[in-house]
Amino acid sequence: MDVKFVIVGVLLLVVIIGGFIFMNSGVLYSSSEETEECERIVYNGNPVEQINVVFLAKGIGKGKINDYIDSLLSFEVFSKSKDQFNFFYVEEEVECEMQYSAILCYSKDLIKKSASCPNDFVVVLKDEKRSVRSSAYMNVISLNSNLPVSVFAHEFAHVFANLADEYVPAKIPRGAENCQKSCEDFSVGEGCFEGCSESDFFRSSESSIMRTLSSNSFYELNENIIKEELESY
Amino acid sequence: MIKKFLLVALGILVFFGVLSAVMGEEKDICEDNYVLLKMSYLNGEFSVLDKTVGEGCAPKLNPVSGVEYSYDLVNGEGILKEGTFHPGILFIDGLEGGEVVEVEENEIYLAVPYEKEVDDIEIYRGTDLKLKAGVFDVGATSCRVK
Repeated sequence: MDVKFVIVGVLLLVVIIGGFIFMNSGVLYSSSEETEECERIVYNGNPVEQINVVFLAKGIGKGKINDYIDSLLSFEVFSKSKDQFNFFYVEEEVECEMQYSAILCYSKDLIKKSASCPNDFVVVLKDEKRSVRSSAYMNVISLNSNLPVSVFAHEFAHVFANLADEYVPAKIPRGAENCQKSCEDFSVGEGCFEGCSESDFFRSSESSIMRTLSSNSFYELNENIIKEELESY
Repeated sequence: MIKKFLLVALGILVFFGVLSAVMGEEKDICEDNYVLLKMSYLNGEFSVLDKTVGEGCAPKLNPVSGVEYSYDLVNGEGILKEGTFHPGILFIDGLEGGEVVEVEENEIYLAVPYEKEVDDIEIYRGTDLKLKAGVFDVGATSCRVK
């Protein structure tokens, strides 16, 4: 075989392998003057058609982020639709403030940093004392990384599907469908239990994740509400 | 011999063509611009405080059923995109339970896709129009392009 041909062939192989490694390195978008580097953690398809969640954290580690993703996708309703989600990561420090003993990381700076990745929902992780609570405001979820990871699913359901808290006392957001004034108002006959944000409202399951972070299910009614939102994407 | 080299060269060209197409498609998604609207929210009333054009992705507008406030991106022909938001509700959760705080006043930020065919943003509470503002008139003195 011609030596020159072998050399060119080997070079071509190196280029192909190098290109393949580069494409799968996890860095989806490089940074520019204005944007940060965006890394894909789970990538299931074109962000235009997906539900895109971006995590912003510094010094938390990708292992912990994967714990949150695994926790969210362990809930049956999300597990069945896991291919609809992309998860991204921007390793950046985010300034948060303390409000009502909770971290709240909603700011102009955060919105700009999250724009580096597809960002339908923004999750900020901060290492705080366990007494510090997590929050959800607009499409921003601010999580204390020392709370149970299931808090992510709870907060995500607030911003993604407008689900109300099912513990008492709380306030029912306008249009929330999981707390009803009477048992007859539920669309599924799963159950009816007193107390859902307000003491004179009812919930359809005894202890869903919207009532307690130790739950591992949303139960049927909440799942149906979430499914409706999933189908809208 | 020349044929072999041509074949190899063609292979390299095809590879780089495919590679750049794939990378280009992915990069394009966040190389868009967005308009960041800084707004004042006070007891259900809105006003635009500032608007800037940024480089990157805007969140997808996907209305959630029942949410208190909605916003439409419109032009003379109708609604182009619509979304929803809850500027008046802050959810708080911790080990010892949580609470929902009613936010009466805040600065809020809406990042919307920069699309020249859009003229205005309209914010509604139910069917009640709370604000109509031109936001994509980039180049006007009120718009600070970063």
